[in-house]
Parts: sequence; C-alpha cells; structure tokens
Amino acid sequence: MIDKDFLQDLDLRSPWVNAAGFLGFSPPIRKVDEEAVKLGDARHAEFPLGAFITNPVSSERRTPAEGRVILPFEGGFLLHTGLPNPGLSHVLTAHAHRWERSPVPVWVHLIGDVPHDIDRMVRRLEDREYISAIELGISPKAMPELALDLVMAAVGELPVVVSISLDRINEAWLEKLPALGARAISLSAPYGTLPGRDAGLVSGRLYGPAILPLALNAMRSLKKLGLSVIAGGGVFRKRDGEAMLSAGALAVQLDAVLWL
Amino acid sequence: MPPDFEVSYLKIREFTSGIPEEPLCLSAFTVRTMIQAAGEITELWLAGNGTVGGRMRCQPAIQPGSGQYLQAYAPELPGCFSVTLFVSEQDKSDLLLAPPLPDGWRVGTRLVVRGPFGRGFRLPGEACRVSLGALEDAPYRLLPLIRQALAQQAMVTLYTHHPLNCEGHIPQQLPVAVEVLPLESLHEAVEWADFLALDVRLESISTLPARLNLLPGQHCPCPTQVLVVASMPCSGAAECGVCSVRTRRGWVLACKDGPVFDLNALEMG
Repeated sequence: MIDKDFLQDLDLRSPWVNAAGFLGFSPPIRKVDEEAVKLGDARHAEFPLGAFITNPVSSERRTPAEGRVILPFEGGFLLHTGLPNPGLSHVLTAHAHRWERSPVPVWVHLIGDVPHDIDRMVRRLEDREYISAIELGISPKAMPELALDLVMAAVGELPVVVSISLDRINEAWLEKLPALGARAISLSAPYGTLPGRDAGLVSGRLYGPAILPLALNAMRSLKKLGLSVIAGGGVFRKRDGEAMLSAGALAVQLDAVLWL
Repeated sequence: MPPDFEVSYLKIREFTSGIPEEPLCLSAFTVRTMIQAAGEITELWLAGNGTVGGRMRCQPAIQPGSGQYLQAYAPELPGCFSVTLFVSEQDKSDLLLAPPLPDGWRVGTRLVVRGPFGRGFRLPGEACRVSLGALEDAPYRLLPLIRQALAQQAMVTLYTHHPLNCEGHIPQQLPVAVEVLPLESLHEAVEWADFLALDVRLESISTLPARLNLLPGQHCPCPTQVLVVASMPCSGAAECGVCSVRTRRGWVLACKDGPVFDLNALEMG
C-alpha cells in the first residue's frame, strides 16, 4: 500500500529521484524551470526528477578519507570517499539560494554521529519553506541504539526519510521507525570490501548493476514489515526501477547511472 | 544552454516517460561548456608496462587542451563505467588516447564521450626552457604540452623512467628535439627551466619536495604546474570527493579545480 499522505507531503513530481552523493549539493537551474517557478507553476517545469536530494551534509566540515579510492569489480565499483562536505553553514551559504529556485522539492541529506548535531541541523532547516524533507543517512557502523537516537533527533516539522544501506535490512530496530515518526526508509548502496591497489583491504559503498538483485530482495523484505520504502541500488535501466515500483516502492533512487 | 546539458535532460525525460530500455545516461546535470560526442575505438596498442592505449574517432571533434580530460563509457558493454581519458595526440576527430584504457574495450567499441573537462596546463608564451617530468607513468599525458612547447621554439627536456621510443609497438615517438633525462635528476630542472610541468599520481604528491630537492614548506623557484592523476568518476557533477587534493587554501577537487595545479598551491606535507 502506497502511503498517499506521505507522497503528498513530499510533493514528489515523479517516482524517480537521485541518490544522495550523485548530483552534488544543488540542482541545475534551467531558465525554463526558473520561469515556471517564478510564475508559481512549478509543475510545468521540465526538470525530470521527482525531487532533488543533496549530497550528504554534516554539522561541521568533513575532510576526505585518507585512503579515498574507487575500485572497479565485475558488475560495479566500490567507492570510498569519507563523504567530504564543507558543513551545513557553508552548504547553506553556497546552495540555499539554488534550493529556493529549484523546480522540484529539495531533500537535504544529513549525516552525523551525535544526536545533538542532527537536532541542531534539522532545526536550522525547518523554517526554510523550500526544503521538503530530511533524509537522514545512518552510518553502516552506527549501533541500533545510536541509530534510533539519531532518528528521534531528526523528527520534527519536516518529514524524515531514514536512509540505510541495504545490507542492514534485517535489523530489528527498523521496526521501531514508524512509531518514532520516520515516514519512510530509503535503501542506499550496501557496504563491501575489496583488495586494495596495494596491500590490504578497502571498504566502501558498492554500486553497479550487480546490486540490483540484492536491492529488490531488500525492498521486498521491508515491505513485509509494512514500512514505506524508497528503493535504490543497481538501477541502470528503466525496467529495473519499474520492478521496484511494482513491488511497492514509493520512489526509486538513481545512483551510479547518473555518472555514465 | 550547452548541447550536452540538453541531451542529458532529454534522456532523463525519456527514461521517466518510458521510452528506452537501454542503459541510461543521465549525467552532465551541471551546466558546463563541453561537448557530447560519439566515439569509436579504431586501434589498440600495448604500452610497455602492460597497459593498453588506443586511437579513437570522435564526432563531433572534441579538442581538449594539454592536461584537460575527457569522460567516456561504452553503453554496449554491461558493467562498464565512465572512465577518464587523456589525449596524447590529436588530428581533428582522430585522438590518440593515453594508457591505461579499460580491459573490455576492443577495436570497434562504441563510446559516449564528453568533455573537455578541467583546467589544463597554461604554458607561458615566453617560456624558452621547458622541462617535463613523469613521475610514475610513461609520459603520454605530457605529449601535447611537449608539442606546444616545441611550437613556440622552446628547448624541451623530459625526465622519465619510460622513454616512449623504447616501448616497442607504440604509435607515438618523441620528437627528436626533446632531450630525455633520467628521473633521478629531475631536481636539476628547477635550476635550468623557466617552466616545469609534472605528471604525478594523487597518492604521490607528498614525494614531490624530495624529487625537486625542496625543503619542507619551501616554494619552488621555477614556475611549476602539476597534472594530478586521479580517478574522477563524476567529472565534477557530484563533487563526490574521491579526487580531493589538499592545497594550501584547503581541499579542492581535481575534477573541477584541476587536474592541473600550481605546485606552490599544493599542500605536500
């Protein structure tokens, strides 16, 4: 069952959205779209995604990981970056004016390991009308108690979508999310490990068509729990995404396909 | 609006309205002055270190400057992702591609090519003693700059472990006017040259002071530009950060702010 109220809250123009980290911090603004927005008629804008999801944003500046790397494997690649970003204040300074002019709803993807930081960031965003939702990225290393505390800190006036890597879908704490006020779960790329270019192993997110069977399976499992799910992972063809929508996804996030 | 942006826009609209069943191509969301072209591999050749270079026909022609890069992917090869390409020689729509190329590419492989991206070398017009150094790889990516320097009548020295004309079957030959010297003597270039260009992998930036005999924190007295070789999968569209470079003014991205940087701007500690 699709959560109609939720869809209405988010004002999704289409079920196709980008995954955080794949289109930058703000959407491109085309003149035709800008004019549609100015005329108060954003639905006539031609922007082809249903919403724009920002790159991950933390409370303070995050520097790139020391061993940042992209490693290909059959069917995809592993990406390890450390999610560098200049911190919320700088992101607002540089991008808020573009969010305001966006022809589609903007979701801000927040990351953090301390509930207080998440709380502070969410409150700073709540009075900005042009932000439609918060997507809260849960670190694959976050323990369940911390993950729940982070969700509680994020819940407020804006709808909250909790983003988890699809290798965590069987964890019991996810069942508590609706009661905490989270509106949906978005499935993000799973974690994996590969041999590095030199000695040692490298861990990071996995992207590519090889992820699709895992993503569809995760999607089905979460639907059985009665959660609203925004699917993602491994979508490289329209029919991949349509399969997710048929299986009950509210929307589908596109990741590495955006870099082709 | 640049044509690439329009093309991508239309492709996304096709995707969301139900036309294609082929793999998607949704990139180039950011408005940039670049071209999207159809490429085809017409020749492959083995470089001495086991990597492969190639020749590509590209329509419409894309003309990257020295140090600028292209992005390309093969839509007919499942599981192949966008790769960064550097051009070592160009004759209109015929481009020689510096190694390495992806394993799956063959003669006849069709490509979607975008570019040029990034900030390339800025060779001063008055430079008359130009030195180049390829720290790890064979100096294919520096060849366009060599030709540019020779065209302005400069004397050119090249410091490398891999003189191109010793590498067997390769289409490129160094112009005879170029003096090839061992990499170990690269520090001499600092005294001799009035312009120095280096090709170095991202992870090796910290070795530059030792290579150039510079003390920690010391500025290089010779104007020096560095091509930082890194994976640049998003070509700046996402600011993913995997190609982040540390400079004296903070972190920047090789894909957008480089890949060529002034040596003295880099944080090499």
